[in-house]
Amino acid sequence: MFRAAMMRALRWIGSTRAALWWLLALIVTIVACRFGPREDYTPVALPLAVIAVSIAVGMVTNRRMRSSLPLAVFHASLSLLCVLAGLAVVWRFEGRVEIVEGTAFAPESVEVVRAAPGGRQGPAAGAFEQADVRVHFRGALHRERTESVLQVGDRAVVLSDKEGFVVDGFRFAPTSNKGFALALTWRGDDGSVESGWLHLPSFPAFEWKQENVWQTPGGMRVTIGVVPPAVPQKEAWVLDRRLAPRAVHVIAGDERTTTTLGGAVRVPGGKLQVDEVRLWMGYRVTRDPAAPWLFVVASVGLAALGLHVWRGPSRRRAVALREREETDGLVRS
Amino acid sequence: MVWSDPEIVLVRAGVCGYGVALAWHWLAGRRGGVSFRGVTALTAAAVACLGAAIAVRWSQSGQGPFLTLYEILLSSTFSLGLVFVAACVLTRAAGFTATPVLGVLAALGLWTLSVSRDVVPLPATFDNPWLWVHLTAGKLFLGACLLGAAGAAALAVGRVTDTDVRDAFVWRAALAAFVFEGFMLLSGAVWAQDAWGRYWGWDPLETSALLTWLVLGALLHARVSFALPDWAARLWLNGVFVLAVLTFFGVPFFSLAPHKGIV
Repeated sequence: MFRAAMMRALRWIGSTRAALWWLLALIVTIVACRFGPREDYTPVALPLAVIAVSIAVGMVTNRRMRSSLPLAVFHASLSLLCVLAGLAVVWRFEGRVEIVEGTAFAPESVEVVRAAPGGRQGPAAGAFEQADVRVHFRGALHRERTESVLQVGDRAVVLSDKEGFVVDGFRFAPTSNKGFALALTWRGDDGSVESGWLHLPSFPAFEWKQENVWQTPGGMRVTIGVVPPAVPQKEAWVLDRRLAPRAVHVIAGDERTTTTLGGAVRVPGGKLQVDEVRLWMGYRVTRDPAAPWLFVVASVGLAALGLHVWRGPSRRRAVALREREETDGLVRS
Repeated sequence: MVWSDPEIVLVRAGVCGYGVALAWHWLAGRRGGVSFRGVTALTAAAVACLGAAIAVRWSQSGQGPFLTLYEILLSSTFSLGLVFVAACVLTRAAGFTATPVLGVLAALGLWTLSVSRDVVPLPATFDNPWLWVHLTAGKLFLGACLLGAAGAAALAVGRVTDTDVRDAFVWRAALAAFVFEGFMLLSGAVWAQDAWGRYWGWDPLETSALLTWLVLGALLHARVSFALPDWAARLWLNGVFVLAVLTFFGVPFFSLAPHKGIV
C-alpha cells in the first residue's frame, strides 16, 4: 500500500500537469525577484531544483516523455540545465576590480558583487600585472575598441572589448570603465610616510567630475582632482597615458591649491605630493565552473527539441495531416 | 526633397505595400474570392523595398540595423514580412493568417515611420559574430510567433473556417517559436559572455525574453496536460506574442539596462 501511494506520488511529481505548476512557480519567482527590494535571484534556484527533480522522475514514470528519443534527450538536458543553472545562481562568483597601469593584481582590491559562502575571492596576488591601456574612440564618447595589455609572467596578453582573460579559474573581462589614477605620497608632520593610488571617476564618461576625496591620517577630507583633457567631438582620438593631465588641484577646507606632478601641497597635518598620473582599467571578475557545461547541455537540448519539432508530433499524425492537406488542396504537388 | 532620401522612399513604399496587400486581401475576402498569389507577390515586393531600405541605410551609416528603435522596427518589419512570404510559399495553409499578419506588419511599418531615424554609433561590444546568430534566431522566433498568434486570432474570431490543418499550423508555428527563442537565449548568452563578461545578468531584456520563453513553454505544456479549450489556448498564444512584442520593442528602449548598449 505504501509502495502504491509512493508510486502515485512519483507519477504526479513527474506528470506534465505538475510540470505546469513548477513552470508557473518559476515564472512567479522570477517576477517576484525582479520587482523585489534587493533584486536578488538566488530564490530562483529552488523552483529550478524542483523542475530538475520533476523531469528526472517523469523520465522514469511517464512513458510519453520517452516516446521519442529527441524528446527524451531534450527533457534530460532540461533537467541537467536546471541543476547547472541552479548551481550557477548559488555558486557563481562575481566582482569588480580597477587596476592601475604598471601595478600587480591584488585580491583585496576586488569589490565582491556576489560570492558563495566560503568561496574563493579571486586568483592569487600578483597573478598578473596591468601593462598599457589604450582605448580608441570614434569621436566624443563613442568607443571603437579597447586594448588592455596584461603581463602574465614573461607573456603579454592583449585584451579587447570581446576577449577576456582567465587566470586560476577567474575570468577578467574589460568593462567600459577606465580613467586616471593619481600616485600620492603623504608625509605627515609626525614623520609618517604613506603612499598609494587615488582613482578618479571613469573617463571620459564622467569628464565633468574628475575629482575624488581622500582622507588624511589625521581625518581631514581632501578633494583631489585634475582638469581633464578636452574630448574631441568629431574626430577620432585615443585615450592612453600620454593624455594624462599634468596639473592637479587639491582642495582642503576652503583652500584650493594647484600643483604639477612631483609638487607637494601643504595640508593640515602634513604634505601631500602628487607623483604621477596613470590610467586605471576596470574589469568584471567572474568564476562560474558551470558555464561551459551549461552551453553544452543547452545546445544538445535545443538541437534535440528542434529535431523533435521538425519531425512532428508523430509520423503517423503528420502523414494523416498531409493527406488532409492534399485532400483540401492545400499542398502544392 | 523626399526623393533625395532613397531610404525613406523605400520604407514608405514597403509600408504602403503592406497596407495595399492588407486592403486587397480583406476586400477580396469579403467578396469571397481571394487572389492569394497576388497578395503574396505584393507582400514580397513590400519586403524587397524594406530590404533595399536597410541596404541603403547600412551603406550610408556603415553599420547594421541593430541599435535604435527605428532600426529594430525597420529590420523586424522586413524580417516578419519575409517569414510570412516564406511560409506562404512553403504551404498554402499559411494563407489564412494573412489579414492579422498584414495588419501587424502595416502597424509596425507606421510605427517605424514615426520614430527618429538618427544614426547612433554601434558600441564596440556589438562587433561579435554571435550577434548574428542571436539576431537571426530572434527574428525567426518573432516571425514564427506572429504566424502562430495571427492564425490563432483568425481562428478565434471565426473569420476563417476552423480546420485541423489550420489548427496544426498554428501549433507547429508556436513550437517553432519555442525552439527559435531557445536558440536566441543561448546565442545571446554566448554573445553577452564576450561582450559584457557575463552570460546572464538578469537585465530587464534578458529577464523579459526568458519569461516569454517560459510562458510559451507553459502554454505548450498546458495544452497537452489540461486539454485547454481552443479559445483559451489561442488567447494565451496571443498573450505570448504581446509579451514578445514588449520584449523586442518595449523593454530595451524604456529601460536604462546595460543591454541597451554600453557606449
